[in-house]
Amino acid sequence: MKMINDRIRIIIVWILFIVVFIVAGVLLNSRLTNVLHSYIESQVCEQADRMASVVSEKLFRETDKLRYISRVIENHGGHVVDAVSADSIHRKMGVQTLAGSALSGEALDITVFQGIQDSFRGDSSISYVKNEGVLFTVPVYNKKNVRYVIYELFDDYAMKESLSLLSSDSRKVVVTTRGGDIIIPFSDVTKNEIAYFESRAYRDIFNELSSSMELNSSAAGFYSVNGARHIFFTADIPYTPFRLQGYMEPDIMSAGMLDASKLVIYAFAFLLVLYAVGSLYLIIATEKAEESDELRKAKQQAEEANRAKSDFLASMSHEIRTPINAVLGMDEMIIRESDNEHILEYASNINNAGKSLLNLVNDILDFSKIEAGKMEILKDEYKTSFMITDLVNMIAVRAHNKGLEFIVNAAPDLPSVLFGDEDRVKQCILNLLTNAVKYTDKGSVTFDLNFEKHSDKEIILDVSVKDTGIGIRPEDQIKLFSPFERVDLQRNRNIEGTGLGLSIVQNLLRIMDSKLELQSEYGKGSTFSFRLKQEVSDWKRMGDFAEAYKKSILTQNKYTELFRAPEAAILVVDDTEMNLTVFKGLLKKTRISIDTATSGNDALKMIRVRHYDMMFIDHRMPVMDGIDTLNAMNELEGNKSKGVPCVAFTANAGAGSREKYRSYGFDDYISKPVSPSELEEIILRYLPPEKIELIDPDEAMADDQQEEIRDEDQDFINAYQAAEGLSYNVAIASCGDVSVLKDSAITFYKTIDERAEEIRSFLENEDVTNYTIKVHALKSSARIIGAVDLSVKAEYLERCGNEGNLEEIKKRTDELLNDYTSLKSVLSFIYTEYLDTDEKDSDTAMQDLFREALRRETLMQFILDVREAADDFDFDRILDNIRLIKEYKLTDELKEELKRLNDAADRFDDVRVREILDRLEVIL
Amino acid sequence: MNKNKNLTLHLLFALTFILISLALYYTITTFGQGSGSGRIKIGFILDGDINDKGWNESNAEGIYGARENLGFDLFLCDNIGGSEDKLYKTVKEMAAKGCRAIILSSGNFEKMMEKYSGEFSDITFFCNSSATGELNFVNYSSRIYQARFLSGVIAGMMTESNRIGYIGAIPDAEGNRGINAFALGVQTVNADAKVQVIFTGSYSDKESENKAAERLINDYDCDIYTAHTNVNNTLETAARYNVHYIGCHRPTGSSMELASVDTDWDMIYTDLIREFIKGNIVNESTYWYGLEGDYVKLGFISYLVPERVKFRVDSEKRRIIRGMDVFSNMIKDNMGNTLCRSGENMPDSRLTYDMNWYVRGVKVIDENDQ
Repeated sequence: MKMINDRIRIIIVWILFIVVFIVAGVLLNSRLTNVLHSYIESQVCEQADRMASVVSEKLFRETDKLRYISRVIENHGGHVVDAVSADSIHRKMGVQTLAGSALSGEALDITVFQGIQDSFRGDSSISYVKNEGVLFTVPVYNKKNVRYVIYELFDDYAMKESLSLLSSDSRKVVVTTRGGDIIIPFSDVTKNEIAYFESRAYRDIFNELSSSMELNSSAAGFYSVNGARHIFFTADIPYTPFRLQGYMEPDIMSAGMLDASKLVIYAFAFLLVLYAVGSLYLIIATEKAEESDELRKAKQQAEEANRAKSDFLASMSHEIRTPINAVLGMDEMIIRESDNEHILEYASNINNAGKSLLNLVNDILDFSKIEAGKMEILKDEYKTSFMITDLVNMIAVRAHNKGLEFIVNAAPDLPSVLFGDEDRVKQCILNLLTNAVKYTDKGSVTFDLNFEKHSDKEIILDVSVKDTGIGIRPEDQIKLFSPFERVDLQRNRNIEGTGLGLSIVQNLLRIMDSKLELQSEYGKGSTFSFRLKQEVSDWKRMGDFAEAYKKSILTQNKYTELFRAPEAAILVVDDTEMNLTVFKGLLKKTRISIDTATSGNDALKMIRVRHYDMMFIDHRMPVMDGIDTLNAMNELEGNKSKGVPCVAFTANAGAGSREKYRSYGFDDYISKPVSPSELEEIILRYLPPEKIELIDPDEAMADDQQEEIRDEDQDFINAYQAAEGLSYNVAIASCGDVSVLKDSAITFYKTIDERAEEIRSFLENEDVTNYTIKVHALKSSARIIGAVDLSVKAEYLERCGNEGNLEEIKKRTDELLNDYTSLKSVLSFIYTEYLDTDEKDSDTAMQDLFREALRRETLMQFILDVREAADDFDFDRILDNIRLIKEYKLTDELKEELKRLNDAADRFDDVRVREILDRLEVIL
Repeated sequence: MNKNKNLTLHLLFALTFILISLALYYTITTFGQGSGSGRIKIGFILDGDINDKGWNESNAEGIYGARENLGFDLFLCDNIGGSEDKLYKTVKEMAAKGCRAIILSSGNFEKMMEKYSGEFSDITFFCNSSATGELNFVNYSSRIYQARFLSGVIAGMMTESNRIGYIGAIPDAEGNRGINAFALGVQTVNADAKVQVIFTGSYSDKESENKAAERLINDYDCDIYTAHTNVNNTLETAARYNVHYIGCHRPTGSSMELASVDTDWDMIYTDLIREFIKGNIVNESTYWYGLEGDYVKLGFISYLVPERVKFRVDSEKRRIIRGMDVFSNMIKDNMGNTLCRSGENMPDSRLTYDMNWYVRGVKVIDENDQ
């Protein structure tokens, strides 16, 4: 034994040293290379900055020349302007006015040549225009204001002629924009080299360098392209939007310095070999001296004997299981088919005894598997909350039956998904818990689960099980872990078991690199604990395990109802029928019995008649708001639903809403419009668990798929999408599915007249409070059916109401009610039988007129603006206006006219423009 | 006994091994690394509270955004008010901490700092709307006047009384530029409308502002008014008289607000400080950011503003971006003098230094004129 230990120790030390050597060598080499590289890079950056300043100076020399001309014009007046012209076909020069025409030379488009605009603001500027060249501009003042701008435009050839810097064989440079377009290819750069500068690989390198240019004026780095290694560099050209880019051979800068790192590699390699040879010799010598043949033989025999025993046990246990299963199976048949009370009692005793026997055999089987080395650890992802819930479910009943208190402290910060062998971990904890319950007669069993972060990917689970049982004497504690031993037999005669449990736990933990620890005081209780490393798949907090368990079941699939509660009853109180319809629709599949009330008073009557498991109450209601209703319920005599969970509906949820509603006495709140999953989640949280039947998600999905979209639904969707003023997407998002939307739209449609009348009468009575409540309700119900514009208007008036601004309300309410009632004709497609034909026709006609007016007003403005622009000969403004009006929905006739207008403006034909405008006015 | 001794020996060996390995690792990895964090330090000074829901808050949000984007060390100090002594002490402290640039975000700071500029000659001062020519001063601002022009278009088209109010703070270049741009916007669409201006003498004085608002509404028949102050202080007055309001900085959420003129300080400070760090900022120069690129904008337009007005605003915005800036072509002052002829454009230098006039249609109401 000692010999083996020694050998292992020597090998470990030997490997450690080699590892340290290798790591140190690699680190040293990369460090040295880095230091050399960054030194060379900084040198290159400095050089690039110098080159960039030279280019900057050369560029500004051109601006100085223009500024001189500008002085001459300012001093001598406009007549010198004609003298401004270029002497080469590769350069353009001119004098431009604000309106865009040119006094001399060619007129440049101000939207393309931004530099001209900069100079009209008083500065000289240098800019680059793609495909045109480099533009130099300088302002010409007339007293205090800028009158003209002188420009000079160099094409590529001219730039090359007047500004080239020399490249050499080992260094290539170009001037580019910040985006990387080449402006000045330096004089002796060849076509191939330009192609290289424009290649993908090269661009990638410069994009990378550019990212470090964010806060530096220059950058450089080593990169390999097509096997050749170069230093690439780039530098901002000061005070211009340009950049210098290029590359050079590394040898010029490094002068052989980079070879230094090779020296390090060689030296370390030699040292390593030397060390390996030396230590290997020593190990072999030690081994030889210590190992003896006899010992080895004896050990081998012992191992073989042990293995034979384990094999025998394993196969025996396996054989025993088959008949037990047969007995249990037959017994099950008896239980199912017999009515006789006595026989049932006997059979169930057989069942219990058989299960105990099966457990024993399973334990033995596990144990012998471990002994034979056949136990494998199978790792997979598992949910922490699921594991804890399973354990609690298995133990809670047993503990309860024995009258013990079972306490679970699971850290809510535990990662929600771990990676390991869930079954084995569970087996270990379950064994400890079962033992604890078994050996404890009164008091409690406590299950603690904590963790410690071990690395970025791993945690150490800290499991401990504490009981207030009989405890274990110190001298027994050693025996405890050996197989088949049971301690304190006198006291524990009546406790069944193989005595294998702890041994199995200990062995499983050993396989998983952990070990079981025990603290015990005889007569007072024991604590078993272990620490186990597990990988982490998802660091998200588990939270309260019971909640996390429910939640993860809910979120496994997207919207599919995951529970039914046909036994449960819920009361919903809201003054808006729309909200009640949606609420019922969303919960239809859960089969919950839902009662609704449209006012606090109705609700009070209803709770005297029936018990509800849960209530939802709207905060904002007329006469008696949600808080008043809740308070009245609490004081009500004969309330059958006293103390049941109450959730507030609110349209104005924000930070701190939960605390706010808790302080009012609600248990929670939910914000409108209600989302299906949120609603179910909150119901799952508060409904008594015994009334909830969870459904297998697959089954629920299958149910859903059976409901294909029917043809008439498709027609409905099409009609909805086509309807003016309704957004189908907004509507379906708040309603969840088509049938709910249909119900909601019908409710909305049916209540239009009544609600509009209410709003009108509250306004007439100047009752701002109730008026505000009504428009508030309209805001949310309009949103549910996707009438976004109406909802926005209602929201505006709600705001006015909150501010008490009666004047504004009086002014705007008619418009709101117009829009509101006009939705009747829009919605008529869903509910034609509610509308006789005459009414329908007049409504649609009005709707058309309304839209027409809106468009006419904008069009009039358009004509006005274009006429004004034509008077100023500002044709660019005319074109802008045409572009803007084209964003509206237009008739074909109008489109045709606009096209003609566009052509006329393009030709600067102001007479024709006016003609077309006159015609447009007539059309209107 | 022997066993214990053995264990100590092992532990000692393992400890030495680990220590030497760590020392080796540390020496190799830290060799040749330059010292110092190298992050640039920037100072930022505000006259009001960073939570004022107005000028100071939007500026502070801007500089925090820039810090997020660029990663510099920020020293921020607010609530300086009008105290020159406090400002000087703050600047001195920031200089001692090694700030290479200090941003004076309030227009009145640069005058207070002028005489100390020599003392801090190695620090670049960024002055919002500066008008001094000190060597180490840089003038930065937003072309918020462009947004004011657009809001003037809205006011001009929506007024019924043809009287529009303007609560100004101080009649300096920055303040007058805003008034003139607004009035030019009004006049472009409504030559009959007049802009009535009352100056309160301070960028934040809730009482005077509300008094001014009431006078504009009651004594001068204004049915729309705007303000150029740090905080939108008069919303309640506007609501009480049911008069529409054009706000500045962030949208206020009031039903009375027709539109708000807003600056994206986050983008401006990021651009400015990035160029400063790279060494591209030239002292004594002007860095103004405008409608183009959305540095300034109408941050909010109420649904009360009719379609045709929005249409006109869009069209005017395009015109400005196209090069016809607010202060161009024929501009006359309210005494009839011509300031700019057709085809001319006022350079930024004139907008900075030469703004002691008001355009046609502006009437400044005297304090004592009841």
